[in-house]
Amino acid sequence: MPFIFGLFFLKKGVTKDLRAFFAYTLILFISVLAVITFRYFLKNYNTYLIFYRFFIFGEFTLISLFFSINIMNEKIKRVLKYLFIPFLFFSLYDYITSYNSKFTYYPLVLECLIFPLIIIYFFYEKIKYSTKFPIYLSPGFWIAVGFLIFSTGNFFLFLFSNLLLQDLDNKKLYNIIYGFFTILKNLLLITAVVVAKNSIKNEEESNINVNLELETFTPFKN
Amino acid sequence: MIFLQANSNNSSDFTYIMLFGTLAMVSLTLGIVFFVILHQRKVIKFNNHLKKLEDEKQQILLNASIKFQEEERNRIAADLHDDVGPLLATARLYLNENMINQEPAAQLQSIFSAKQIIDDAIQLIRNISHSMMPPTLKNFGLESAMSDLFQKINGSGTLNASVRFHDYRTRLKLEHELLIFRIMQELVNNIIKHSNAGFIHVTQNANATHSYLRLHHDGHGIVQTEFDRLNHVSTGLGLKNIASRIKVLNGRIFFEIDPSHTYYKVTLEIPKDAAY
Repeated sequence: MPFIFGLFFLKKGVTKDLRAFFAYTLILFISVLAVITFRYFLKNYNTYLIFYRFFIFGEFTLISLFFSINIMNEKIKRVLKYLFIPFLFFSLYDYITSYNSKFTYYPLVLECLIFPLIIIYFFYEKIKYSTKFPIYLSPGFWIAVGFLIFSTGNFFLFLFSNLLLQDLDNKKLYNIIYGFFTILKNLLLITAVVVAKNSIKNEEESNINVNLELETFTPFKN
Repeated sequence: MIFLQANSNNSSDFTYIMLFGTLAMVSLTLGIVFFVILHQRKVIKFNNHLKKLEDEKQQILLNASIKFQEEERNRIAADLHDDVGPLLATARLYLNENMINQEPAAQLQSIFSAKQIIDDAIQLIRNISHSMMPPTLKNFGLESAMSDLFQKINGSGTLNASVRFHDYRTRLKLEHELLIFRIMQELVNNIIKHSNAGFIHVTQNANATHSYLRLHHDGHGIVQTEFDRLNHVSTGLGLKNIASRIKVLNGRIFFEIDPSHTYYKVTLEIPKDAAY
């Protein structure tokens, strides 16, 4: 959904951070298609899980890149830019060590631990430096809220997933909670796209195109 | 994460822990988000209020400076019209066409009178010009202009005025010297008019970045809060002119009372980048 909204809304004047976000919505869209294809049509559960691992890595890389562009502190910016490397190693280690290539959720737990920390720092910077316009008028705020709620809401779910998924009732509960936070996140990401569209429009309106050709402008010419 | 490998019999306990943990985490998250929004709104509101106050102050200063300019123009116009105009008209009367028919002695007398009147007119025009830009300030700088001004005040015999410059080796830009001189003139005028002071003493000193001028007097003075208050009310031009000139100089002004409560101090701080 955020990708489709992005296709309709974001056409020109997109900033670097929104490009990273748009790339994320693209891989989100592809992964949804992959889930449907591998899980429900081809019934190839292992390929789906490998694909899901790639998606988690892509999500982590692009969202940390998004925040590295938005955060002002140079040190944290640099750390966020290269944070995907240790995450990649951790994901690879988890894949290799997991029993029978089974999905372990540990990369997701790590992601849900790191994202709130980044987002809280992002909010701290916004409180400190952004004193001109309300924070909710920037798309970054809605993206941050979306990921913060998704990460904190699913943290315990992912942490206890190995136990929860053994029981059918708990599996239902897992699906309800995960589904709820995923829908909420996507709605907030759609809000971010709409807000981004408005902010681009406002910026375009404030830039009046002055083209008087002052060099050749001769008002008193007969 | 070792506890994740625990026995599945405990899964229902974990379900409750998980649900409680999730609820707590989401509540905390929502709390953080609302705190961020509310705090930022508060900061924006405060900043807008400050900006509004600053804009209002700027508007008052701008109005004051426009009003002052108009008053100055009116004064010059009145001086020219009321003093120089009649003098030149009188001189013209002496030098009329009938002069040719007069006796040589009367002619000489008329020419002498006209010359004297023209000399008076020249002196008047010079006075007007000097009041716009004191020649001592232009030629010899702020120190000499201040000494000149204080000598004149001393000459009246009603007030003991003295000035001492400690470190004025580098002159400031002429337009900045004029602004400082006008500020000092305004302060001295106010002291003479309102404070009933027995003495005024001005000292100057400088450090690497700033030049300081301090004026002491033993009359009824004002302190900083009163200066700020008077600056915000719409009546009275003098203090607003001081404030607008200080702003142009990018300097600061402090009105204080000495701890012994025997005299008042006014300190001007001017950055040295205004120097030649």
